[in-house]
Amino acid sequence: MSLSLFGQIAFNGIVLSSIYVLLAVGFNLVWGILGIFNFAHGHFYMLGAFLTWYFISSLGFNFYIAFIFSGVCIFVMAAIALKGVLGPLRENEFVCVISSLGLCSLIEGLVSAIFGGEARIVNLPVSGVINFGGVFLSFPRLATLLISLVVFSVFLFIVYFTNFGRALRATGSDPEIAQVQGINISRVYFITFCLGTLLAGLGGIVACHITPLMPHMGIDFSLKAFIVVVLGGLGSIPGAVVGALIIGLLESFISSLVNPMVSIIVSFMVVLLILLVKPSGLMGIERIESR
Amino acid sequence: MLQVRRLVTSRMWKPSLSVGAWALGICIPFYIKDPFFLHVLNIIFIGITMALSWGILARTGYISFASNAFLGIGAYTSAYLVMQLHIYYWIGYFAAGAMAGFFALFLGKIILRLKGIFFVLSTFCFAQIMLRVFRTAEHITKGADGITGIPTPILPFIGSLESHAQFYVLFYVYATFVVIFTMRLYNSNIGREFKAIGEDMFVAESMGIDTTRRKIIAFVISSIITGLSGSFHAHYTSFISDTTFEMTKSIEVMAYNVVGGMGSIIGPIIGVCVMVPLPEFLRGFVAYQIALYGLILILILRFFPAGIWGTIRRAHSTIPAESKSLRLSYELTKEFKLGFGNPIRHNRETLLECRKISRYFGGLAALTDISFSIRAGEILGIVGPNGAGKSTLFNVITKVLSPTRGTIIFEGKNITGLRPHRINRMGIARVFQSKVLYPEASVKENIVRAIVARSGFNEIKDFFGLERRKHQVILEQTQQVLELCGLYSATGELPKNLPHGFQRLVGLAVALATKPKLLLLDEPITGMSLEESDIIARILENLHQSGLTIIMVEHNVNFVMRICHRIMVLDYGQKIAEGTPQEIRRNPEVIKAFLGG
Amino acid sequence: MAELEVRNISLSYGSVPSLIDVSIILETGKIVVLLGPNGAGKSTLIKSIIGLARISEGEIWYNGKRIDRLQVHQIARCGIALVPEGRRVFSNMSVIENLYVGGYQQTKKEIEVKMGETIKVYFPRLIERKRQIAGTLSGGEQQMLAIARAIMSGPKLILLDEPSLGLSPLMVKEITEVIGRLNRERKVSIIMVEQNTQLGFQLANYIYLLEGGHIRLEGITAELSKSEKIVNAYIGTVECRNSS
Repeated sequence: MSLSLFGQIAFNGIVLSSIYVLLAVGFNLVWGILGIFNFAHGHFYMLGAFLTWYFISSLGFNFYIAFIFSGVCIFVMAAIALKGVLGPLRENEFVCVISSLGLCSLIEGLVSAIFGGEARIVNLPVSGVINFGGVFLSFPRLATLLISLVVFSVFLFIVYFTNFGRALRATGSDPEIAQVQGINISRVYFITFCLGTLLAGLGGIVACHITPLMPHMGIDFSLKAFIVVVLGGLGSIPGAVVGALIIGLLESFISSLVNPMVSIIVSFMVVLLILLVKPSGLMGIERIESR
Repeated sequence: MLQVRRLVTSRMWKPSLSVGAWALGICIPFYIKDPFFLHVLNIIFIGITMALSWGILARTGYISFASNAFLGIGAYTSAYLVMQLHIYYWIGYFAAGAMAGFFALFLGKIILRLKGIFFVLSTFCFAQIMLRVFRTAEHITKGADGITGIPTPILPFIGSLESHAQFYVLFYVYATFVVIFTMRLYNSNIGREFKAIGEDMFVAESMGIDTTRRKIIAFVISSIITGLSGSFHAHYTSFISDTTFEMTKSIEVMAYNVVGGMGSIIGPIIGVCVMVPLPEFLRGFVAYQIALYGLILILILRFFPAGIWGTIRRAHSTIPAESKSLRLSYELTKEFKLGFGNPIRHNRETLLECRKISRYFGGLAALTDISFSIRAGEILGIVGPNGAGKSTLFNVITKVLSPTRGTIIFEGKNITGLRPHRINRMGIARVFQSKVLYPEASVKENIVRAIVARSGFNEIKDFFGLERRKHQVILEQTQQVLELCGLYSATGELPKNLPHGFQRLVGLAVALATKPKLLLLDEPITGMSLEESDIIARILENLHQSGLTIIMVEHNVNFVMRICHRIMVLDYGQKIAEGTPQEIRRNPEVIKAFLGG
Repeated sequence: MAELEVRNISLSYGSVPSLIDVSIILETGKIVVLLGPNGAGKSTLIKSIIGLARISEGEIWYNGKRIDRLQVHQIARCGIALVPEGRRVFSNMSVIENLYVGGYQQTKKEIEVKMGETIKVYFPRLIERKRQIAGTLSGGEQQMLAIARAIMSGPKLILLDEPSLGLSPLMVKEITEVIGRLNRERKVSIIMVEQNTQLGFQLANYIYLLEGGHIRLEGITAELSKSEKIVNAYIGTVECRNSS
């Protein structure tokens, strides 16, 4: 295989990974801190793309304004989903999961009905290509990579350098004692859910020029998020990054060299293996085994 | 008649009414000829079998996302055998079930040791993998094109099935079989053990139930039924492809159960009857059909999280007020010896020996080189200040934790690595504070079932009335246990309605019902009044007289001093003293450990 | 009215009664110690004050305000801090971050002041290790961190649940000193649960002895330390079984 082909596939893989990071970190937050397995996570990803398309094509906004508006909408919709559907059922894990499946149908159905079921593409307002030693780095993909990195950096800043971020990590570490420090954990849970879901939405916006998104693909992206989080380890942000890199690159290579179908089978087998051997994932927190 | 055996359990229907209704049901095709209507009913019947079979595994607490995979395995097996190998339909049918069963057996052995969400997710992975396999294994499944023109089943005398009405009758009968099978299963010992496992797997394991085997059985049965349904599905719709078995099939099955109400038989049936026709009703809304379906699901779960039937049941069940009328000053009318206790072994042989038990949590040593032994017929107390490691030691002995180092020897055999149900079968029983295996059953029922599980009771023989003498023995033994534990006034009550003191006794009684040689108690009198502690003390003394060996971990040193022959004191994870109560009381090290400084 | 008044509270975990008609009083600036054997209900009492356990009967009043119905974080904001049993520092966060979380309700300025005045003075070793991840500290250091974290919120009352548990005698001595100093110099009231009777007698102005969910004994330290009852509560009376 020529170096430039390798480089091309690797570049695509890294761009893919950057999107998966956003998708997975958000999922990690929601699952890890709130304990909610939200099947509709990927639907918010898809929703981000559709909203942006709508703002651009029907309301004539430019990309950046549409981006911001979509973000706000996603945040609000996540709040509604939490308060109305998932939050009240948090105690009963299984019913909550089924409920999130209902949410999937709801979102999917509404999107199809309102925006139509065809794939929508949102083109980033950049174009062009750089030739980097035989590897073609397209500007849109570079833009995706850049925006993802920026969003992720802002997220990291919030989590590691703000008061709220500390409250979030404390709540994730020990909710009881976090309360004792004066932290209102209900509010923390609320913002965490909306934040995590927002990340997914933003990921969808920058991703959809690469793969056109259709309403029914929501679940596939929830699965992607889940695969990455299990691989990297629940509760670990570095783990989510590592997991995203592995899956992104793996997917890129296997899809290009073999067959997209095979890459999905491989992903799931990897997850199955992880679940059997080290359920806490590559970098997850090992809990003391007592039955 | 032993309460354990029941044929068709019904508080709700009267048998004659139900048979009549059933007969009416099977006649429907004579009156209503609309093929679409019959078609929907056919789908409902298959849906019922799928929902119930999923529920069998869910009863053990294991949620599977792989219904679609097993449905597909059954469907493809049947279609392949009948079409490619020209095998007689009904052989193909049973082969479909068998194939699904084999897959389940193989998969179950691997993934049933995972817990909770991890098991769920691994079934999900399995389903996703099988979906891709369905797409790619083209020589069997014809891939994305699918298999068309699947012939319909052939019945003797009738020939090939043709009309929806004929399928109606077939599926009606099939669904009936599955419903009755499930009812019988849930009422059998093994079915009840499924429920006990779902309630609390560790308690079930400690009471001698081989949870691994039971779980695998549940999984296999569940998959076989799903596989059989798959065959029917294929030969009814005459076309299958990989998209037929998408994840939505699994999700629908779960939705039937959750919407209708999990844990029952009527619940899933209601769920199917509501959710299957729903898309049809929503068809009028065209574009918003899917959205409305999701919305309705969300609303039902939000306001009826226990499911439709579950909510109805709760509203109607009269939960008897906690039986405060049971006075806590129960009397032991006589000093009583437990009849089936092992004969008092005054020969003083060592029953249990722990050698250099150490347990580390990461770098922290919770226990260091604890060695002790207990002789048959002794009562040993383990005490120590907070954080001394008493609970850890108890957990190691009862198999909650495994020791980092050291061995445990029981009756000369090394039991260190054995699972809790094995050591229970060998004669070690642990008393749980307030957990019983069957919280929905009365105190007496719980004890009867525990004794039955231990007495080599053969269900099949009993069916033919050959176990009558065993009935008698079992009832006598139940009586003994009830009287010894002072539960005579509470036999018919549900354990959770009893006052706290009684609940402790129930825990004790259930442990005794497993016919142990060694009884392990964890803080037997915490939270009990002086009177109640007194009663416990007398019961333990009786047990001692009956030949039982007892180890207890307790904070209340007073109590331990009174009852135990020997006491072992722990501090900072180490044994600091061992001896008779007098010796311990005078030991300055012990006093220092407790009072500090 | 005293700073803290616990009036006739009862509490059960499920059907297990844990506290039965318990009343205690804390006067401002004093140290109250709860002694008693394990399982007596001491920890439960502390938890019910901070709101981590809900009482079924009775009332809890703090500085004239009823707090037993409030949420945990609201009670914390009344000026009550907890040093929980087993330390429970946020193990994946650094020392300084733990302290910041402790000062969650404070402004940046107030935090700076606290760091400079209080933490530096009482816990110099912590300042040395401020970037170290809390989970890697020794038991004694974690205990110091838990106490420091509690101070960060500028509380008027600190609840300590078995601070000496699992610590070496040297560490116990240090902790005792710090607690004493906090009380004397910073005028912080303290309620402390201890199994170690010696430590308890050393620090306390007033003692309550709990056993089996009840208050068995209470009084001023000087009188109580002579009482045989205390030894008996822990280690039992003379009535023993004769060996068989």
